[in-house]
Amino acid sequence: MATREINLIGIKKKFTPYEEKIKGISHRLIPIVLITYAIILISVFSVSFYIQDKLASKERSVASERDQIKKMSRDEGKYLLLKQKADALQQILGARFPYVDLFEFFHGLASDMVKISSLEMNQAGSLVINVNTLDSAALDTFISAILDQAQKRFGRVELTGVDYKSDNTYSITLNIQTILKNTQ
Amino acid sequence: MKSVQRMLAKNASIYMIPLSLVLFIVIVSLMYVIPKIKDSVDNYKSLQQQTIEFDLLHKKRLLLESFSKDSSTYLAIAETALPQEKQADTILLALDNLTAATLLAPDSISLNPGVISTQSAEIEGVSATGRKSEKQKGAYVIPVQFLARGTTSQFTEFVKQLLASRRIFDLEKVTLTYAKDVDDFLIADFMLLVYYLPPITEIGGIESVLPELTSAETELILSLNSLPLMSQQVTTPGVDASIPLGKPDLFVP
Repeated sequence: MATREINLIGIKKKFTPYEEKIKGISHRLIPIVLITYAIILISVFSVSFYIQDKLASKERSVASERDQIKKMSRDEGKYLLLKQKADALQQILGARFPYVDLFEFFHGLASDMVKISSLEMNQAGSLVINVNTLDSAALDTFISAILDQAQKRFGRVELTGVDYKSDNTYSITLNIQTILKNTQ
Repeated sequence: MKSVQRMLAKNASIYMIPLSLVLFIVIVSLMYVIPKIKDSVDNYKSLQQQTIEFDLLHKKRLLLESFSKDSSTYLAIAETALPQEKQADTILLALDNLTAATLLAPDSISLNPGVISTQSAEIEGVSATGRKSEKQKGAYVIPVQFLARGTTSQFTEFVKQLLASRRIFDLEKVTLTYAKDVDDFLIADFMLLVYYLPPITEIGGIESVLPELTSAETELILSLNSLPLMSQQVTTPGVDASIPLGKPDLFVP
């Protein structure tokens, strides 16, 4: 009976040089990849935890501020009221019309020849002055004086009309748009 | 078939570990890392919004805290200049004091304040009767027609003091008629505007930004304190206010 050979030694794989190279590369890369990924994981979770913590803390602060502001609603109402008043006062006091200056200016221009019978002024800048005179030359001088002085004292004074009435009264209508200089 | 199995077993021993690693990374990334990053981005955006909100609220609280210390002083001054109520009595008193101080002789005073009611109970700008109040320059006005006579110097002094009164008056229109027979004498027809500002009944939400009170406005309010308070009762020397002038209630025996 013919005998047969048997090999009981474990089969040892034999890798090609290419496979050996790949094995070497993977052996070197795996720890690096693992460590890098672990770092990324730790970083992502740490940053996430940090942001969450910060957010929770900020939310608590916001809630606290809200509570405190809620308690001060009365002060808030007073503050808004004061602000409204301050706004209104600024508007009112900032748009004062110089009645006294204008009155003194026109009153000073009157003479024996030209007497002012009435003067109407409003804060929109409209001014009507009625004068009594028998002398039209004196009236010319009066109007010229107004216009001449007006150039020096006021920003813009527009003579909008001169009307004659039967009782020797002239009505001079002026429109004062902007007053740049104080007449005093 | 055996050769294929052998090849797979041989290749698996080389590629199994790297492939498992890649698979692990992909699964962990998809399940945990990417959602966590998304959450973090969302939380960061919320944090930014919360920070902005906190800054606004903090600023508002500090403003209110600093204001509450001086609020009563500022409001008291502003209240005398621009009261919450129409206070028709103080208008008359102020005109009375002004004419007494300047010796301008009053002929008539005509004012129509409308319904005298608590302004806070009214809708802004609409009185209890439904009549719309007129608002000018940020406040409501009561028109007052005032007729007086006097010399030119009395007139100018009256206007100066009127415009410098702490209870704010505005002169909308004035018509001066010179007396024909008397020199330097005139009749003045004033159209005055007296202002008041009802208290606010609603404030904005907690997050609403407060308009800042500027230093110019604060100075303006403080400067009002130096103006004469013409709407106060002037006591006449020699008249004892404690002397009873009559029965306070006619129906009480």
